[in-house]
Amino acid sequence: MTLEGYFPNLLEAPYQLTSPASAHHNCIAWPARDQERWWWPDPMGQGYWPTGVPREQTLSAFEQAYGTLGFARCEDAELEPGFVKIALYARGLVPTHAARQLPQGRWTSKLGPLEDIEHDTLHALEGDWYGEVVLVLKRRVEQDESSMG
Amino acid sequence: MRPEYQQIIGMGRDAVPLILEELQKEPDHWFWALAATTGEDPVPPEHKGKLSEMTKAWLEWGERHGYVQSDDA
Repeated sequence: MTLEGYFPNLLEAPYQLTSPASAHHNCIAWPARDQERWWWPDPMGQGYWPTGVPREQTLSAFEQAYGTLGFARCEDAELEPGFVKIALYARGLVPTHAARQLPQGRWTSKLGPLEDIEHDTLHALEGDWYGEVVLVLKRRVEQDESSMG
Repeated sequence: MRPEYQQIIGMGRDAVPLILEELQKEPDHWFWALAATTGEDPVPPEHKGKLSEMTKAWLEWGERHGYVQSDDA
């Protein structure tokens, strides 16, 4: 199936493929800039999950996971100079995906084991597969990431 | 949980050689199914989530338990 098959809103919103498919990391690892590990709180304890954070598929657990990197809940997904934001998608109250904001205001997403893309809007990935954005987190841009995407 | 995962886990231990064979051919995240069907976890904490290291740990576990033929055999 094409990406547009999974995410029909991509048909109406510009996006670009930014790297090939990889099973080495996933959509939750990607906003954390971790390209070596598959982040997931599976009950069998096989995915990487930050120490001390409950291994459960809840908004609270995902918020705490990114909290270990300094991210905290914020009001909206608007671009704020000096801050990097992560938007968390969920179906109902079950987290499914996360996207990281780029310095120009676009978003970068790793689509599970598939490619990663840059997309103009968060709405582009909303729908049956990922649900909708339910939570936005932010932290100050660190010096070493101010020049990164 | 993906339907194929549910089917695999439903097969119980019979699925283990099939999953390990698949891992040998093309590493992918079958580790939850392996852990669920075997009740084992051979992956050290520092390798959690790392595809290559986890694949190696599970294939070595498979060798020790007679599911995978050793390269030396």
